Amino acid sequence: MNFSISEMQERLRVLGLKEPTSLALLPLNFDTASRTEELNYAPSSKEIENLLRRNGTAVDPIDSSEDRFYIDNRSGDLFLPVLMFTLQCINEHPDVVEITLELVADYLFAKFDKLTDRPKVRLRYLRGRGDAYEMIEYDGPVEGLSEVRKLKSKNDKKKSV
Amino acid sequence: MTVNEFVREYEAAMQKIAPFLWFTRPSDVMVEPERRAQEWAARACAAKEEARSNEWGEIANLMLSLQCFASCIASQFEMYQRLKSGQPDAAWDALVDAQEYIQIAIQADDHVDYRVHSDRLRMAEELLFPRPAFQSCGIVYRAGNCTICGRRFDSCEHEEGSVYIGRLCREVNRRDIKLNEISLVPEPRDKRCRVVAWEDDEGVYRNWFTWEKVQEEEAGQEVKSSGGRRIAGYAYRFETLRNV
Repeated sequence: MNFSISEMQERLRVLGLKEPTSLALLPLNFDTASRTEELNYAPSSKEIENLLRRNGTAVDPIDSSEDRFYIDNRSGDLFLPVLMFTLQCINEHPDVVEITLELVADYLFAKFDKLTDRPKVRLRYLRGRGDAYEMIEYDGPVEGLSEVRKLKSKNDKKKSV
Repeated sequence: MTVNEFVREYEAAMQKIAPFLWFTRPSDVMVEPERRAQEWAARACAAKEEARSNEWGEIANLMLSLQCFASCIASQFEMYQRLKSGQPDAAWDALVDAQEYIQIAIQADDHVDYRVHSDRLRMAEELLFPRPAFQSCGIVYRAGNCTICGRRFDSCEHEEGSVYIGRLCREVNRRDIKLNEISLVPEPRDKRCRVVAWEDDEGVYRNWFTWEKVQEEEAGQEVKSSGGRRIAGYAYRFETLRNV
């Protein structure tokens, strides 16, 4: 799923959300919700926000609601929130994607280390590329997250791993 | 009694219980060791609460792990007994209880013996039961409360599933819950959520574990007439683990 910048701005406007200036966590149904009240966030959003804040990366809240809805699929998979890196954010902090994904990967390793079942991870994040946003998706074992990090250096390759 | 003395007594008790923890042992022989395992779980729980009240974090975590291991053993005895008395559905629930207790024990105080025991439980699951078709439900909700600090769960620093001073962090009292969907999934959050009966290729409605024919109901005919296939199962189960 790709958005042009104007499409992204339109989605934000329709949903009554603020345009982020740095790193933002999007609701999981950002692309399908038709109004603010329908937005559903990943339950892990809180932990990711706390993790990033503790490590000096503030998350820009796009939703003014202080009592958000969450969606819990109660499957064994852990769903992370959609991460959105704005062009402004990447221009100001060129390493922000890599650092954030490293933090998330470390968080997942720590979280899954004590689990006795084999963990599975699904990850999506939005990355600004030129005049468009690109959705990077990953679905697989936690060990594969290191491959996602490598995507940052492969700017011309537009694909999922 | 010091912590070391408590642990030594606990370990000695577990060693005496261990010889009975085999499926080949008669059910009536398992009753007493199961009771002793429950007793030790209660003793460890009481010691944990004392450690918590004194804010002895490490000791509280150790006691939680001992409590959960003893509870795991008691649940394993129950699984065997239920299997022997022809109650595979209840046996499955007891197995999942045992697996969840050992998971919390590992979370509280990671120990190689716990991991070995966890592997054994997984092997028991694969050998003794046909793999269930698991279910999960998607729910939309507003944040509940944190079991550690009591604050709203999306505004505190605690992580669900982590152990803090002998207590497992969970989100409770979620608000404005709406059911979104029910799915069949390969890996559920809660293994108790599964199909318990289904209609096979010949149209016979069977219990998943026993393969015995389940009594036909009138509702089944309506499903058949519309070309569907009936299943019955759990999409959501309330938590059964105690004092964690």
